[in-house]
Amino acid sequence: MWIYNLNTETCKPATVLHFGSGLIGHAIWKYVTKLNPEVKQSKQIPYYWGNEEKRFNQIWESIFQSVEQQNTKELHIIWAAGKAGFSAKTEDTKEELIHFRKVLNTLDVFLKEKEIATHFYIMSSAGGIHEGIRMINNPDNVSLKRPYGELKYAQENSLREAKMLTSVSIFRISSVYSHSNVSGRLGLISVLIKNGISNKVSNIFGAERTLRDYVLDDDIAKCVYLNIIKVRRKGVHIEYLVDGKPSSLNEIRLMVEKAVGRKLYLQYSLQKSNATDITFAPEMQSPLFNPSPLYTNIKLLYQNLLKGNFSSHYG
Amino acid sequence: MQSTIQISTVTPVYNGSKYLPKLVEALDEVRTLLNTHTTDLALIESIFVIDDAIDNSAEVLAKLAEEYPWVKVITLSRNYGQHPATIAGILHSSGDWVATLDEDLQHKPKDIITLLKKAAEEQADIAYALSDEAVHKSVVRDFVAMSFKKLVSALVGNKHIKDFNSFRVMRGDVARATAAICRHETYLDVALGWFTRRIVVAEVNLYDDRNQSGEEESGYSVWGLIRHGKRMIMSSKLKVFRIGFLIGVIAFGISILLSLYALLSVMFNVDTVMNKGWASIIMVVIFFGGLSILLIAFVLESLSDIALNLNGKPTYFAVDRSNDKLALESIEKLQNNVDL
Repeated sequence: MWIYNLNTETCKPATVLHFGSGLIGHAIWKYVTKLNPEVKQSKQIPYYWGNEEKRFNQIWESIFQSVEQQNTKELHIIWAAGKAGFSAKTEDTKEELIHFRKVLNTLDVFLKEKEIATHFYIMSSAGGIHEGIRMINNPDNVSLKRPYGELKYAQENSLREAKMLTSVSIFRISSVYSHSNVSGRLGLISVLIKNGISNKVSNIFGAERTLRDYVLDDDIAKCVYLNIIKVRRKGVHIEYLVDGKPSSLNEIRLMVEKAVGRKLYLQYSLQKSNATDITFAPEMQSPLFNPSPLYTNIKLLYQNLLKGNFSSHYG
Repeated sequence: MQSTIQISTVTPVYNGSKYLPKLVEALDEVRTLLNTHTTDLALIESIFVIDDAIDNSAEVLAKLAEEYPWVKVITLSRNYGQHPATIAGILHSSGDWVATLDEDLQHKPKDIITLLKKAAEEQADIAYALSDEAVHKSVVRDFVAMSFKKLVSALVGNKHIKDFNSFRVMRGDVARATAAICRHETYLDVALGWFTRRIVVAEVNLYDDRNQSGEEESGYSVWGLIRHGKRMIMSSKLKVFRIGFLIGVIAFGISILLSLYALLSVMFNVDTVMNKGWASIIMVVIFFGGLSILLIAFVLESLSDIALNLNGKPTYFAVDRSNDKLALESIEKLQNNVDL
């Protein structure tokens, strides 16, 4: 995690606690440091993800000490963290939820009788919360079909009950693809391009016709940053970081083949649970979210992969 | 609760501001009908693609989109044409079935149900509207249009060309897969035929009311028809290549037989030819002529295959028709309760 200061429209400087250096966390870090080069000087603090009491308390004491040293009136907490992926088991998600609730309880104690406006930003999962639903146009139309979705929804509910927070921004994000190779996890599109370049077979969990909504991690980062800098409101708000245009795996395959200039070798694993459509009505898109065109990004990603230009992993 | 079977509509818009409010009202009626009388069928979205409209369609649609949240509007950067605009709309759709219809109310939204029923009954992937009477009540125009389609159909060997109509209902997966491979000059309906042979027609009333009321007709000229035909042909494989191939094979075969005959005549001193050298010349001409036609036909067939491959003709495509029975049952239930 990182602790750094940013000038927002209402506080100069505000302090940011940035948790998570995976795909989205890293993208946010990249964007913040691009616009605020001085933030690069901030040290990355190794965070403890377990639930052992003593270690947990130690790490949070040092975090709070740093916050107090900044003497800020505004605290922003970015939670782009989590070990559990889409296919995680219940045991893994259970531990993660326990940890998350401990964090909120600890924050509650720290913030008591302190005049610090605290804004929490959590990266949630639109696909996990609305799995199997098409044309999603209602945030309350929830469909939790796996432990990962239940975890995300439970985290959101925990935040709704956290009265010490001035505002909570829940970013429900659809299927993410990335220019970066972070933590060795490549998204579908990066895998297709990489394997396409090296003539390898790609294993696809889904059907050719499966519809999903794809968004670039850099676009997500920009939206989150803008929310931190500009948006001041109270209460809990759900923002959908979605494109609003569904794309089938077939369409993605064709775009990648066109960019790479060769046929892809694909193997489809038709587990029904992975072949469900998840699409969003365009009006659900957050006003500050401006998705860039998919095909352009695929071509850029291909160029980057050819040059071996993966963004360095700051984690 | 989400309906099992969802329908999207796509309408390219160029000059439709006069008709769009009524069209959206008619679509809303269909939406309400399905919501009220069925649980398994729903019209979830109507996508309007503004193809650099020459009137104030954009403003009209912006207001309609505010009033009806299921109306979606896509604005193209310039005029691309009806097929590209339709393709753009299809690629933005999520429905299990996609209906395309024109902006000018010539296509009645209620007939989407008729087309869908026909497709579901026969487990077809595409249902085209077939007019139950002459569309324009202009004998010349209707005759020219029909004759042209028949000519192109004969040239390319595609019997469905005469059925092509911009009022169609397509299985969503097939429509989106086709739209994904279409290029700027690909004829959408020809490309649809690469993904399925299960194409049916259903009779509906397509009479062009605007002729009676003296309103403008949508622009269709002889030149437009020729351009249309050219795109159809360029998207297909010409049957004449096959005919050329056949002629080449036959000519080549005849030349071989004639050569044998001439050779035997010479060997057995059969004096059938008056002019010396005539047999040799004619044999050589037919032999090389036949061979040339054969080789040209090979080359043209190969080029045609390469072109089709570049155009995205697939090796295979898989579909799921398991919900067709449910769609049919829902429509029949609707028709029993409501007089459409």
